[in-house]
Amino acid sequence: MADEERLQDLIDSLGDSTEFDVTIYDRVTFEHREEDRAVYEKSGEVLAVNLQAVNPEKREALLDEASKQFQEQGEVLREDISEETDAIEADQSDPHVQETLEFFDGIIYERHQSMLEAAVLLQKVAEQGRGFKQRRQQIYNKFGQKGINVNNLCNSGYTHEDGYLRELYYEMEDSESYDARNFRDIFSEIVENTPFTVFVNRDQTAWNVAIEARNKIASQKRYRVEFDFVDIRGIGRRNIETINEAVSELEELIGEFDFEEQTKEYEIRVRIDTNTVTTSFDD
Amino acid sequence: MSTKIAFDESASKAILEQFDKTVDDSGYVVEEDTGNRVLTPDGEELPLEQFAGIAKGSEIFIEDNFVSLINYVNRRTSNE
Repeated sequence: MADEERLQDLIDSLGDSTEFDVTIYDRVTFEHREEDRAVYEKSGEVLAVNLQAVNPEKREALLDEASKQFQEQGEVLREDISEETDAIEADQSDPHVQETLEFFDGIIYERHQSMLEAAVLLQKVAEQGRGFKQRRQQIYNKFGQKGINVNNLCNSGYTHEDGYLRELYYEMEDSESYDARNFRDIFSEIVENTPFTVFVNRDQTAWNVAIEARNKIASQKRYRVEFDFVDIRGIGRRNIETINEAVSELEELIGEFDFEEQTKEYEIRVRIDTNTVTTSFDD
Repeated sequence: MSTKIAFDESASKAILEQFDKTVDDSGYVVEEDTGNRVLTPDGEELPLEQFAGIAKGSEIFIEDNFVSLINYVNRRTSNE
């Protein structure tokens, strides 16, 4: 935190006709604007100081306050980042976030734990409307498609308390030959290939979705655990239509199979029982 | 809650200059005296528009990336 008394004196000395009480704001933000106004209320929480409109001596004194804050408090952050880091810190104490991270801590690789942390916190970003698309893209920039896969698995509930990934862990842990590496490695494979899920987006055609589902059903045999299902998932009216069409296309490709459809508002999940698929995929 | 000093993107350069940093012709944050590009904790060079702030340790340049921000918050919390 800044030294409020010193900052107040400095802001008072800028000669603005309006008096501002620094202590009622969360942040005093330095800006560079081509305008004469030196100080103004940016929002109820933020007081803005325009460095362009103050003389060099005062400008230096203000910037020195930023340096002092760095020395004393350890950080000087961009305004939006200051808000975002405070929001992330608050979200980390959310019981659902904590519970999920604690459950997977130590049973998956550290890099996957970081991806999972980003995914559960991104859910909070989405709930609060804090720039979901941009933050999701940033996860992709850091972790690539694996980061997005973890995000999709988390968003679809597979990591939740009653989610499939936990069920799988308990099943594996119960086995006599269980070794901690078993689940870590299968989790790695799930993150890399999402063997039991097809996440449908707007760019995909029903045919593409059917082919992807077919390939996932065909390749499930090569994993060390039996998943027994492939979920095709999508959000939005267009994706729901695509998925319904894709199921028919898939039946043409591999013959009939049992499936269960769950639709919730604009979200769909078609769970294919892979044990009922009779095609051998020997080719 | 006490008041924090922050900065808007328009004042990024002024803040960097305060820490003897500037921006090279390609738009990356560099050391003022050597011209060497500064690195984020992930070892990445930092374009000015991605400059999210500076933290102690001794000088950590924070990148505007959700994953980097989470890592930074974890570090900040563990130091408290």
